[in-house]
Amino acid sequence: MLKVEHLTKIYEGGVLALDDVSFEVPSGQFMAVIGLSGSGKSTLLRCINRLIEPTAGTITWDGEDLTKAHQEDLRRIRRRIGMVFQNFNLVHRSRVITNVLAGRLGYVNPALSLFNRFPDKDVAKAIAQLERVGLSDKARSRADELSGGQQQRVGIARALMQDPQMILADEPVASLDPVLAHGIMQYLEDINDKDGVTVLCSLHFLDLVHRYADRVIALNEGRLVFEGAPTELDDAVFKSIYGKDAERVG
Amino acid sequence: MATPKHHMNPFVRFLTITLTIITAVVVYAFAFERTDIDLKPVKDEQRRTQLIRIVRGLARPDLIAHNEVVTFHLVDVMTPCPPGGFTPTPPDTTGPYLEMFPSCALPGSEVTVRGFNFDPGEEGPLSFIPPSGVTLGTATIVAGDDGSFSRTYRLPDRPDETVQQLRFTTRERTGGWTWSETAQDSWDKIIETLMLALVATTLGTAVAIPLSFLSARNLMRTIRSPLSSVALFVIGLPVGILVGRQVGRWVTDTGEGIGDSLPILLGGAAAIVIALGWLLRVTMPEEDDAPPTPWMKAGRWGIGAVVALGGLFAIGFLGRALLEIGLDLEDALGPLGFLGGFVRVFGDLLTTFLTVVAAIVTGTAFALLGSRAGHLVKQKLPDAAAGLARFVLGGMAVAVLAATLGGAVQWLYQLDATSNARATTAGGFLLALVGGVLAGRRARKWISMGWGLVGTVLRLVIGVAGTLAGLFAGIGLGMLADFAVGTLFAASGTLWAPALLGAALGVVGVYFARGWDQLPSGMAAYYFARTFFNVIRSVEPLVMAIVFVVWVGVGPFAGAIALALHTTASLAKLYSEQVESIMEGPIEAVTATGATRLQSIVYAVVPQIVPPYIAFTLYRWDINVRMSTIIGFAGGGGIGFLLQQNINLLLYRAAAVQMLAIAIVVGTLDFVSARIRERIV
Repeated sequence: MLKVEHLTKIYEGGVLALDDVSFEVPSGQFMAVIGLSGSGKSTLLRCINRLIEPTAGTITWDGEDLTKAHQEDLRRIRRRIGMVFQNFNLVHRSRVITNVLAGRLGYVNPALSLFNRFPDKDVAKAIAQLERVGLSDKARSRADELSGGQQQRVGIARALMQDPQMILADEPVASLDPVLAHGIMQYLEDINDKDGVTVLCSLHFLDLVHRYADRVIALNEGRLVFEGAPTELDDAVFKSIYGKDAERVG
Repeated sequence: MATPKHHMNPFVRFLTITLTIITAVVVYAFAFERTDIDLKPVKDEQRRTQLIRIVRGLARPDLIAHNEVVTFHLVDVMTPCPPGGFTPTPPDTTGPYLEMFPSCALPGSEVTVRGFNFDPGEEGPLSFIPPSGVTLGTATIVAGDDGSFSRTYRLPDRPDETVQQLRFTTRERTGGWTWSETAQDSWDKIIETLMLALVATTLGTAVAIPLSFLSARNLMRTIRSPLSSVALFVIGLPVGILVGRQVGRWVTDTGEGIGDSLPILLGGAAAIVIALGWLLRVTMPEEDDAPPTPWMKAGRWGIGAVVALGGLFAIGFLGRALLEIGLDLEDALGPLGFLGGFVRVFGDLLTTFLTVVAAIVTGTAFALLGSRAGHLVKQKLPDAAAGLARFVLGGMAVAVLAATLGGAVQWLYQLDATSNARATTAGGFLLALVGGVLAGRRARKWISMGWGLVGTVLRLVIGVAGTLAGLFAGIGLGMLADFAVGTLFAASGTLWAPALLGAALGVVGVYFARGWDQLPSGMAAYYFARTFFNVIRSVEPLVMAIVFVVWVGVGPFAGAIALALHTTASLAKLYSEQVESIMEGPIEAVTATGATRLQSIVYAVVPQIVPPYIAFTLYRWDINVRMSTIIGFAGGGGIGFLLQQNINLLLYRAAAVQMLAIAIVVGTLDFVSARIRERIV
């Protein structure tokens, strides 16, 4: 159970990105986060694993207060939270297998990992994850030789290496065409179904929300404006999220 | 968006342009004046001839020496005539020979020199050779079609009682050629230059890479630490350095006590390395699944200390073993003796720098340990205790800083007891004054703004009173400090007095910084590193070379140190700017997996910066080759030394060889680095 209470983030310079946001995510749920660009979706996801420090509010996950965690504890929390990014965020000049193994950095001995040494079982695990996303033949390729969809699959494999209990997906398909988008979303769905991993996924397209999400929250200028099932997203709700003049495209 | 130029009034536009042109002309006229631009010497015939001579000399590098037979044709001369007259030994008339009429004459008088049996058109210098063996009054002679010549020659003003000589030198090429002596020397020196630049570049790169991360804004900006952590870092660093130095000395002494036999040294080093490797393998898990208990953490630090100590012993043993092996190899290898020399110097380096390495490693370890402990103070202690700890630690940290500063001042300026006391007095006075002013300002806040005129007057009075109190307190404190330094700490007034002062300042500082929870320690390190680099970088390598020549003597070693230092500073700057321009996404992604800061640098930053780092390093090698010519001017070795000598001796043909060598090397380096870059990027 992830419990976000009164979460507020004010950036240096006074921009209010999140304004008193509270919601809960039961373990194993696939939750979509929607809203316009700049509505605070990315900030919200990054506050959960503290890539961004929240200004106020608490985030509790399985009884542990994430906002109070210090260095060591924070690393231990982060390694159980996988993250998938809009721009994939692979290290371009490294091999695919190295990018995947990087998901293991929170677990391995820090000294050994500095010399690029990973335990054999982790290497085997990395190959298994690449097989799961259908890229085992690309393990030795450089990451920037892959296409966008392939890179995002590597990003998912990297997140899976963490044995995550939760995955934060920040616009995972916004840089991909619709066909590839469904491919990536199906991997996330599979991880959610089979491994019971909680997924928090920010999305742009409402048909993807209807197709994959169990529940939806919507942000508008940093405030939570909707929380409910995807089926409840009617035209009135839609206009409250995206503005009066917005029209549905899909 | 649209530039206002289109709408500008034509007259205003004309005026602006005219003014700009006039300003430019005036500035340029001033620049000409200051640069002493003057065409008179340019038109001077004599200067022009000299320029042409230099250019022609430079155009004909003295590269090749033809094989030739040099023959001296001599005739005896007496000047002035001895009392009984002088009859020279008759020449051998079967081959080419010289005659002089008269055979003796007054110094400075004209004589006739004739030659016979030479090859038609044979050419060469005719010189007067006094007993000292130098050549004087050289004239050029060309033999006629019949192989003879006759010309008048003025004897130089060199009277002597012994027989002197006239010498006609002919050279006959025997075919074939060799590299000239200049070319051979230049080859030698250009290799020296290349190697000097290589050593300087690699040393500089090795130091610059870790430092470049410290001076990269994007990496450092996010690092913030609580005050207690910063304070313990500042205290831990010097304490660690002192402890490390002692440990290093102890390891050196103990190691020397064990003996000098090669098997013991080598075996000892190997045994230590194997034992430590085993220890690490057994105690350090490949992965940790559960959070380590405090005892486990302490145990790990303990094992780390044992490994470091053992490592120091191993380095000491290895260094001394290499020293011995190198000495033997130098004798045994013959022409490859330099390999032995390398081993010897490397061993010497290990033993010499053992203490320095120990000090740096221990200093860093203590500082990091302190920083960790500071985090714990903030996390684990109750608020009241943590607040108290902040004051104590803050005071101690500033005291340590001030004492270090005082020690540095004492070392640099060698203050005597009187100046010590005076400095302390001034310090105490300033401190009290600042304290008084601040106290006055605080007191003013207690009086509410609602009191009207009375309040204003009260506030003013209190402010002035605070300042005055500070003034008197300062005088008192200064006198006290003067007394204290004069009697209690007579010899170390620059150590104890700043420490006490620093402690007071630290406590005051902590009091005023209580709103600051997280200090920007990363940016502090950033500015510190940047300032350091800028200072080092602004000192010309030429100046550094002069300093190092004094330290290690004239030669390439001094040049290598000077260039290495300058390389470190400028590469660290260039590298750090590369780090600042990398993509942030991968760092974010790796951090999100739970990686430590060091891991995220190795996995997300390093792969991105490899190509520019290599490109900059190669470019720096090229710069160092060119700089080493300048370094050579100051005695820093390399080809510059030769070039400067030849230019001073007006040997332009020789200088041209060295310039050619530099040009070829720089061009080759450019080509090679372009190819390497192509491969890597």
